[in-house]
Amino acid sequence: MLKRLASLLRNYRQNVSEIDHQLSSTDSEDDDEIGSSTTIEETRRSPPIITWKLVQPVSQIQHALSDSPFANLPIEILIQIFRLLSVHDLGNISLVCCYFKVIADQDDIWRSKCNPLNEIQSKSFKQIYMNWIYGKYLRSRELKKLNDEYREPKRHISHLLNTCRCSSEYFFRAKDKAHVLSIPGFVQHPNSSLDMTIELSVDIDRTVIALIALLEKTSGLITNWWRPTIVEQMIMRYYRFMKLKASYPNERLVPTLDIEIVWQTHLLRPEMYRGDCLRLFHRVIDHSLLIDNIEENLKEQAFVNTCRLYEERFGEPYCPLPVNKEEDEARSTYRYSLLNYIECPIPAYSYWDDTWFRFTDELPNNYENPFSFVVEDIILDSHWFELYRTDMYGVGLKIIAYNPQEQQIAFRSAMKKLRKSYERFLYIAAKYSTMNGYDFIHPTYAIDIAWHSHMQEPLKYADDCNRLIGFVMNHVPWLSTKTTDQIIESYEKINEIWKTEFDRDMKTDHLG
Amino acid sequence: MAGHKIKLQSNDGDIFDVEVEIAKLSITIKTMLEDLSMNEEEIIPLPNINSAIFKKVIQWTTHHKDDPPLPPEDDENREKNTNDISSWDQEFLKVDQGTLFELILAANYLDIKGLLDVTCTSVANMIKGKTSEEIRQTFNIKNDFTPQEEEQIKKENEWCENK
Repeated sequence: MLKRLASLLRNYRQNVSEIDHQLSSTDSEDDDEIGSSTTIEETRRSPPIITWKLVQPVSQIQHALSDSPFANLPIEILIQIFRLLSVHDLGNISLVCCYFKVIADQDDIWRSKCNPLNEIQSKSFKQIYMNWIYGKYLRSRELKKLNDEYREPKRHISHLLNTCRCSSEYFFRAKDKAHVLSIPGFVQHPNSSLDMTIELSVDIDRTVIALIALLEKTSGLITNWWRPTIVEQMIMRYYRFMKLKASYPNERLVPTLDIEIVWQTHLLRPEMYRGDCLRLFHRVIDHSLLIDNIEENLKEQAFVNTCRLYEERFGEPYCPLPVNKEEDEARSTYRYSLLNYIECPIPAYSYWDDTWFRFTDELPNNYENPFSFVVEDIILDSHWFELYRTDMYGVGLKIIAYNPQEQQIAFRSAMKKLRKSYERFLYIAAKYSTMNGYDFIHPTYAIDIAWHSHMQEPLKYADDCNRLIGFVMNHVPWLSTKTTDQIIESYEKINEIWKTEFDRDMKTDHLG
Repeated sequence: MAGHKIKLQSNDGDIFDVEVEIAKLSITIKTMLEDLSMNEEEIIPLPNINSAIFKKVIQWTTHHKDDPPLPPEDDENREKNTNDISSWDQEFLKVDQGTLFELILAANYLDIKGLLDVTCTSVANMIKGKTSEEIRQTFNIKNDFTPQEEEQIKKENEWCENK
């Protein structure tokens, strides 16, 4: 056993001696120039550096255990026991004695606490975990600043803040525009037809309506929710809900509105969503806003079922159950929507919004955010709809028509152009993903809403991306590490490329 | 098929008659019988196990002989809820510390996954929520850190806090 311990320690020493001088976070969302350009007034917490080193010889460190029942336990069993401990308990056990510290730092224990990695890493998993925590901390600080800017009188940062970050694995694509690259899923060039030349497995038209309906509903409420501790409670409820989804894959579980909001934030960050789901639930949990008539009829029963399962497992109420339906005045089957411009049939939707959960004033002691997004991500996402609204003209869904028939036709036509625009965006993303200096491509709001709709169904989104362009486009909202000027400059570059490729202006692409 | 027994001998000489199907919950014994084609009339020696512990092991495997097979352990840590030890097992594990750890070693040697899982979970539950000093006291472990080292580790632990 001494030999095994010695070899374990050799690896351990190796990892520990790689002290990170620059923080290179392995988070996929955030590894550009973290911290280099910040002008933060208050002191920032320093990056994680492991300073503790084992100095005693291997044979010595077991003496601490000589009078304890752990004395003869093989290392594998110790690791098996320690793997069952939370991060907090691992911290405590590391303080017990040198031997336990060495075991508690082993990769076998920390591997499952980190998101699956795409790249080969030389760091220990514990270091990766600490970097992840630190990355979230930094991001939280940066986004807080951004959020403050939004509170100030309007700055027209507008549509430039949503971005696409294309995977850097694809540097092999030719940078010379003269080569006609064949993009896997594009049999023809997008310009060869006004209709879609590619197929998307998500029904974008219906999803856009459902998405706007959701955002309209929540935009009224969210200001009530942006108080300390409430968003954290929403995150906790979301985590529990997802655990239920993972445990009962065949049950129809209905999220409440607050849970749906957090889920939206998570879904709009596909790489993060996938990594977190695999780490926490061992599979990617699917989502859709669309439901059919049968599901609509069964929704209330499913909701009651969800309440029961949640309460059984977590010992707390899920949501106040629906009261007896007072007579609503005959609800019209249409509503004025798409921001008051057009009557839409009220979409059937997958979440429960009739009653709302009441939040408490305090968080429980053991609160933790197990996901890779931070509270500020959720808050900032709520601003997107406002920005989208102010740019409605630009989006082209402002439809003035006087009878519902015409409206529907006009709407269909507008959506078709919007989808076509998204198709071009996919094409550009595939073809030019490395031309841009830092791999970001900025969509217009029109493209963005199509993109958001596509991401609503994560499994289909991933399939479509892989099939059409060869990789999954990552969506990176709220780019906090670039200045506005840099973003504008990059946007102009993309517009140039767009003009060259399609002979159209990107900003008005979806309008005609 | 039931009732077919084999003889197992602990390291202090006692011989136990155990039904084959129950004995085969131990992969070690199963391997001895199947792959090494030991004659089922022979006495199989178990040099690492004493009688007292072996009795407990037999008690456990007898109770669990009809359990469905456990899913294969994947590389990722199954997010095991460390509260889900059945009440029978909880009763079974109400033993002194020494016996508990000997059961771990026995389960490891005999390769009885279910018993190993439940005993390890039991130890993990004894650690959960305790401070380092409390853990030392529970298991009689000496502190071999300098105060400076303790500070360094506490700092490290802070970086792992997820709020």
